[in-house]
Amino acid sequence: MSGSETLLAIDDLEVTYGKVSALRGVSFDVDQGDFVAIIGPNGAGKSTLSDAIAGFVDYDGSIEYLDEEVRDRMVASSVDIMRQQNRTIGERIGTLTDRYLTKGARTMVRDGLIYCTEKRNLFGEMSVQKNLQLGTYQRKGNVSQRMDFVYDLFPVLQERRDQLAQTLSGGEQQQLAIGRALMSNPRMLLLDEPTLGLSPRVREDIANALTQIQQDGVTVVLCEQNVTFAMDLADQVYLMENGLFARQGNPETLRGDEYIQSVYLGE
Amino acid sequence: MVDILPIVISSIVKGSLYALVAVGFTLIFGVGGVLNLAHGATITIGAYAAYLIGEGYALGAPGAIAGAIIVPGLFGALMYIVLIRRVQDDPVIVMIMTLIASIGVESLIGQIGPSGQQPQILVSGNTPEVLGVSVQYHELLIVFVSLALIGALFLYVNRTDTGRAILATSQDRKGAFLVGIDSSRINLWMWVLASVLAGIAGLFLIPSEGLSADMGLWPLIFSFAIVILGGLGSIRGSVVGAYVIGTVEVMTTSLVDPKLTGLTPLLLLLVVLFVRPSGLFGQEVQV
Repeated sequence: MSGSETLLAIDDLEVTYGKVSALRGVSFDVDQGDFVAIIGPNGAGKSTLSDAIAGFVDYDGSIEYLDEEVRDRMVASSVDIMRQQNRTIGERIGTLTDRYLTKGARTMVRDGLIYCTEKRNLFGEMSVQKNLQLGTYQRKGNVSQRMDFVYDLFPVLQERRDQLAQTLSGGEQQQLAIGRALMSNPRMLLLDEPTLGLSPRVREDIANALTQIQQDGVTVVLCEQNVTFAMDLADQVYLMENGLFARQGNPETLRGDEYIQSVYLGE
Repeated sequence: MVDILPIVISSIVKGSLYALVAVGFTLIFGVGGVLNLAHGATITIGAYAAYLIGEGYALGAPGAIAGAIIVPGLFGALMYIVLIRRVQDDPVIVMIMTLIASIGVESLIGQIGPSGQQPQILVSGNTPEVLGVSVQYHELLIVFVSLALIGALFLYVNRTDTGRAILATSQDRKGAFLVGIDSSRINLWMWVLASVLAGIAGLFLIPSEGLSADMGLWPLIFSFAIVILGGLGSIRGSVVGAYVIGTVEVMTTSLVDPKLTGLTPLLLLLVVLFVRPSGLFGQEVQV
């Protein structure tokens, strides 16, 4: 850990789907500049953890991003806002105004937490360039400079900039998803299974890109099934099994762990 | 010998009117993925608001225009915030909700509102004859306003940040969230925009159809035919579909039998569904 500002603080996180517990008391912190990997088999709870951090699922426990609870950041309904007894009427109306009338509605994106989902969620009927431009919807700035940065990282996107996103290969789509996230000028980049189904060459391209992104000061949280890929990049690794962290430590320590060696590294 | 020019003109007028209604209908479907069965009732609200403010309060054309824009816009916003927002992920519930709202609004207006009036609130009179044909100024207004509004909508969707957010939300709502687009706010805006377009259509319908609680019913049915013909969610398809349906309707009533109004567009729709089920143009909101 770098010991600098804590961006993400997760404490006793639980998520249930009906009667099924997907996460059962997960706790960890991520500091500014860290590269944290959550590894584990399919169904361990990695995607649920990503979705919870990004505000897509309800949870018990606490997830704080920049000292603010994620569930509070998620936009409540107008009725919920007006029912908030602990706030003055003026504050409630102010929140409603922010909700409906201003462009800067409080979202995770505005504060720099950018999420790349496993399914990528690209705008399939838009060109590569328009997908990238939409990455700057909340976080404007020097768009052309960021576009150049993304094209430098993933030259294939520049070659295909006028092509519809849905016509790209799986690897190109993944690069576009990461590229779109980088257009948002992330403070923390959250990635869920970015290498799933990709060729070794594309995996290498993505690894190089993630390394460069971290060197540029972006904090990275990577949820990944490919243990070797994740361990080569991260400086802190958590092994998730059945909704719990079964092991944690730096990559060197975990590489020496017999259980991880036998189950995940095939040694 | 059939005089073709009046038929062409009537087709353009009808098509322009239907395009206003259908484009709104398709915006809500394309972005939110739900069918708004209260769209016809919104036409009625627009017509009555225009009549009451323009004629009732004697504010004339400016009052009527303001009424046809503001009241349906507020109705659309209220519909979305109060009824739809919480159930928007369930298209069947939304359909039932909007159907109930539609019946409620039309029943209320039927009970308390006037009926049968056909005033020329905006403009009256006819143009001088050109090639032996004279057109009502009102009809000219419909065509120009419709084209101007739809043209503006195309520019809005293509050239503005909010327009791009609309397209993004229609293609992938979660993806839109990931780049910081608030899809609920975009949906709210679509309901307002669609309701305003329907309200303006209601204003234009007063002189030809006359005020009645169910005056929005046939335009709603035609909108169904139009958006399916054009491809659900396609703005361009809705515009093309509106002119096709308008032409088919006018030709049927002019050349065959006026009693068949409404039937042939639906037959055409059936044929299209058999031949090209996805309609003339694709799926999500397209321009």
